[in-house]
Amino acid sequence: MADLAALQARFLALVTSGRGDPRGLVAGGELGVYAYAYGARLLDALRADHPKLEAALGADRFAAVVEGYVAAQPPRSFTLRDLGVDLAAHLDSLDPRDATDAGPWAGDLARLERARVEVFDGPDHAAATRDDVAALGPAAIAALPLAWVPASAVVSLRWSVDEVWSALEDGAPPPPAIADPRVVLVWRRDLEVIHRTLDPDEAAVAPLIAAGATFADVCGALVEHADDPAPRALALLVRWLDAAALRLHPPELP
Amino acid sequence: MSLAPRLGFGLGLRPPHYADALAGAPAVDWWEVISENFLVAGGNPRRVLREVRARWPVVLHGVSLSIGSAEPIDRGYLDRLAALVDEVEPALVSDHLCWTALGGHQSHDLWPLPYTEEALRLVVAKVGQVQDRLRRRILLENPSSYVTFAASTLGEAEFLAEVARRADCGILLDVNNVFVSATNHGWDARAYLAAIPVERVAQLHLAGHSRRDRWLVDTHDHAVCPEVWTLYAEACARFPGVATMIERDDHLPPLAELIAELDVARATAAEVRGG
Repeated sequence: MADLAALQARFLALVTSGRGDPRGLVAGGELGVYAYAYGARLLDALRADHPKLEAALGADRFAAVVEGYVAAQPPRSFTLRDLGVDLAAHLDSLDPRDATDAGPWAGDLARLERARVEVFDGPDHAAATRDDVAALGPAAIAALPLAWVPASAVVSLRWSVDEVWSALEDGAPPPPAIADPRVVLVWRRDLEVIHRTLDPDEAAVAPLIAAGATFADVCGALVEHADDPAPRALALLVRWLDAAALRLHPPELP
Repeated sequence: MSLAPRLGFGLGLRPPHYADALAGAPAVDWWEVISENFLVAGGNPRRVLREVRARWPVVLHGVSLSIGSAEPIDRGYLDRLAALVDEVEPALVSDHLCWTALGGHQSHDLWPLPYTEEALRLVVAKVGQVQDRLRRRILLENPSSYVTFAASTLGEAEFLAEVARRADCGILLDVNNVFVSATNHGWDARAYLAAIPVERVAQLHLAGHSRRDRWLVDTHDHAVCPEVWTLYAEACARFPGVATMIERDDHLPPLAELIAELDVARATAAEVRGG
């Protein structure tokens, strides 16, 4: 396999980064067709997954960001769906003096859009309803283990990119992103991907639910935020149930 | 399985057409879907696939098997594909005579092989592994190509035919790819068809292409061109009754327009059949 492996290594280097000498490799044709297609396909894939980031940066800046990202993190997954999995971290890691730096908030916007991509085709699961919880009886509610539906993500942001996302979604000029930490819950209700910026106390307990906390745990965590946490915990529980964002741990619900 | 089930005339199912495909009764005998788009946990893609499969035969067409890479098959990918095959029970499973990854670097493109005895042995061995895992024959599709390699000692059609014979797999003959590669490299497209063993061809592809400088590129963004329709008629004469579908991935027209184009394929095949 030595000859084939060496040939393919040369081809890959020439096509993806222009490194190497094609002499003796090709008998005819144009390697540039492959080089163009490689870059164009990856750019198209990230455009599809990050439309708000592209809109916020502009097409040229976004293309430069993608070029830098792909050079730093060549695609490793068989599916283009996973191409952007490290984009947010890549953007976070850029030095502001880097030519492809897109601004300190760009990583957070990529993070929010990435969460939406992952939730879009995440595992199917029936959401719990008020009736499901009521059927358990009052005594069981305190020990009720909670969990977000599997197709969900709790996304911690340092910048107000949720507001940038919403403005762009509405076709409005995006406000400047400001440094203002917040937590966004992304989930899928039926086939629709939704996200909502959580209230501060809700944001505090969201990671606990992601870790499998019980309703009593949620009440305990809310003590820091409310004098009487039980009514607030109940209100949040109803909010989450009505949003179809919650499931109950098995075996209570399949 | 039958090597060439008589499926009729199909289309590639793409997300913008999901709703129209499921809402009505489009005149499509079967659908081809890109396997990788459905190797996901759930959500709308899997729902659509379930509903489509309940009403039509489905063919799984992959782009990431990388059968020609000088390294082992990605077992993780193959396991996921096998699970999808078990669930969907597709009429056919196909991928491309190409390589798409090396050393973990994925190209997301269909890169050409040098047509050498070394590459032939590798592809034959890997097709055998895939067919053993999937417990069925697969089809390999001839790619469009934009370079030829100095190392090649065989013609592409000869190489593909020999892979099919030695590995006991089928061939998905892409008529547009034959035309594109033949034009780019100065091959004789009719001689290419003549070199493909009739009994191995289980599916035909049609598609449009575009021009980039002096090269034809398999972009799937136009209607099938007259020259490819002419070559398709010759393919119908050589491979009668073989399932045909049209691929369209960019500049997607309404579904009705693609169905009208599929009617041209039906009429062409019928005309050839009627003599």
